Amino acid sequence: MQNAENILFTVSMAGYFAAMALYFLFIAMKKEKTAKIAGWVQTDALLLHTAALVLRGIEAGRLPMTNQYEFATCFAWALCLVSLIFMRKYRFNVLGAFAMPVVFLMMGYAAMQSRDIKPLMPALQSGWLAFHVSTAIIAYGAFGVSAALGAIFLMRGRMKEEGFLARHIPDADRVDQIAYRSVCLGFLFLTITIITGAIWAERAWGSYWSWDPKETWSLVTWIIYAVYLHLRLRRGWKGKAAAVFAVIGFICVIFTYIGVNTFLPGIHSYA
Amino acid sequence: MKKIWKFLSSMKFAVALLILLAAACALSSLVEQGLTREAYAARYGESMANVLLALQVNDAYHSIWFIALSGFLCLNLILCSVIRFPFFLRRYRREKTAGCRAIGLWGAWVCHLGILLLIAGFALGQMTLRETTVWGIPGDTRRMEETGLDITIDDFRTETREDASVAQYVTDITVTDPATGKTEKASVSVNWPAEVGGFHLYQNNTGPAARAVVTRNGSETQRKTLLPQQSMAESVLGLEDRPEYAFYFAGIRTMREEGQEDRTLYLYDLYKNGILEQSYYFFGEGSVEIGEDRITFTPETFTLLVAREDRFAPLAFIGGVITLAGLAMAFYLQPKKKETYHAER
Ligand code: HEM
Repeated sequence: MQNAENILFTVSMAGYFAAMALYFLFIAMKKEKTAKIAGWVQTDALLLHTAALVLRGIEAGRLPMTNQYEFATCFAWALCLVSLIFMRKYRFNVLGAFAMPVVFLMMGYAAMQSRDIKPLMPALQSGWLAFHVSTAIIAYGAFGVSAALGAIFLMRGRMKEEGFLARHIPDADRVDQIAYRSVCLGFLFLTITIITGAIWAERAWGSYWSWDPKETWSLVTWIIYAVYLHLRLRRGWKGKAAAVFAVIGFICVIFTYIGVNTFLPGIHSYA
Repeated sequence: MKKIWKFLSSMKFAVALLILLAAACALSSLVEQGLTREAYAARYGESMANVLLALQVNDAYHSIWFIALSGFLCLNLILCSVIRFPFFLRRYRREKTAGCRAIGLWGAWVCHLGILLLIAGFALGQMTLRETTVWGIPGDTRRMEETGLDITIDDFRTETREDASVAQYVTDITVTDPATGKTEKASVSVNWPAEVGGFHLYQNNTGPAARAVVTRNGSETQRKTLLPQQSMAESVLGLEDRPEYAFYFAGIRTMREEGQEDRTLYLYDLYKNGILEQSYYFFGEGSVEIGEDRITFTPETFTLLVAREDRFAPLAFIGGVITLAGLAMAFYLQPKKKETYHAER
């Protein structure tokens, strides 16, 4: 079964690459059709990826979200899903060209991790794990999308109004608005992630908040997005400053996820 | 004067504080907390270590400046909530006709309230926290400080799976109240704390230990549980009838030989008048004779339980839930005509 899972993983990763290339092509060639094909490829790859995750879940007998490999592949999955939803909902295909590279890189990071299914250490055996990690994945996916939108916003300011791209990117206000919606989604889920994590930490370690680097960085991320939400209330800072914070926020997300494990000591040594 | 109040309650101040707080947390996380001066000096150099310690970066999250930042944050939130309350009320009254979704107009206010309760719960919890530990091997009874209860460790098990990975650590205990003589049984394992005398007991640690039993003419005269390489109190056995002698549990070694299973070696040092007299090593159980006293060392596994009482954790939890509710209201329960929760000013 792990073989089948590996094949599905590899095929979906190739699919994501193809979708990314097609989105680039869409921007370069300015052909609507290309974007449509890219959308199909992305959707199919996402389905195969889902199948890979389900297979792994069955094989392991638990949710496949407990180590760096599993979390990375789920992260890519969620980012792909959320970007697809936002692209459909807001008819916004250019987003694919910004989201898919991150999806692909995250799959690449996953591919470099060990794929062994290991039994869970006692601290990880908790019903809160599923809750904590699945909400984190949704939050991270939504933040990925808002960072892509922030980047689009910052680039859009420099584009000519008339061009092909400008026609395919909603106006600046709209981009800002959509980015805001995805930050809201991410922020709500990040808040749930931190609360469920605290409840779990209390049960497993005896203290619901101990300033472990991973906890601290999730708080830093939370604060950055809280600043984003406040900045949007000011007319003058709404677009540009907010877009910058959406990008900084996502850098914090990535650091919380990868950087903390790599560079900082802590008790959160697994994913 | 009025200007100062206005600034203290302003969103500008909030944003500045939040950015400072995020930066403080981020930078502090790069410096390992709670090390000794020597450790910092070895890592960063003498002068940098002095700077770090002067700025209390070694215990950043309890430092004066961190608490001050948090205090200003609370002040800001309280002022903003109080001053803006009439505005929220007026706006709500005006929009009420738009249907039940108008309740979402309170979202930001409720969210701020939740954050305040959360910080209050956390701060009060830190100030009133009571914490102690209970450790030992099956058969040991310890007084649990702070509560005056006696904890007897009845059993400690490491449950493993087929592939020898650890599934769970379980400590069974009996709690006795010496005042009333009442007893109660409980079981503690990872992720499943027990409640004893208002404290939560957590399975925290385990490792090798040794039981030392002294007998004279076949009857036991002394007994102690030793931990390897710890302090005087935990790894030294002083003989009561021969004060010049003391055993020190010097640690364990793993012996690895080709084609054989790993074997664990237990090392004990015997001191006489503070001078090393002899070292002993045993595979498993072993004993030493001094005159008519026989000292028997048996390998054991200790369990360490952490006991904590945080009476304000529920307040922090409620604060978290209220924050969450406020966010959901602010984001998803606004009167239809508005896309965002923009406050008009
Ligand atoms: C520790 C975190 C926070 C602090 C210190 C803080 C502080 C403040 C302050 C001082 C204001 C200005 C109020 C005024 O203009 O009179 C404000 C406004 C606001 N904040 Fe926060 N806030 C925090 C978190 C949040 C979060 C997480 C949200 C999420 C939605 C939020 C939503 C708002 C909104 C909507 C306003 C405008 C309210 C209004 O003026 O009508 N705040 N905040």
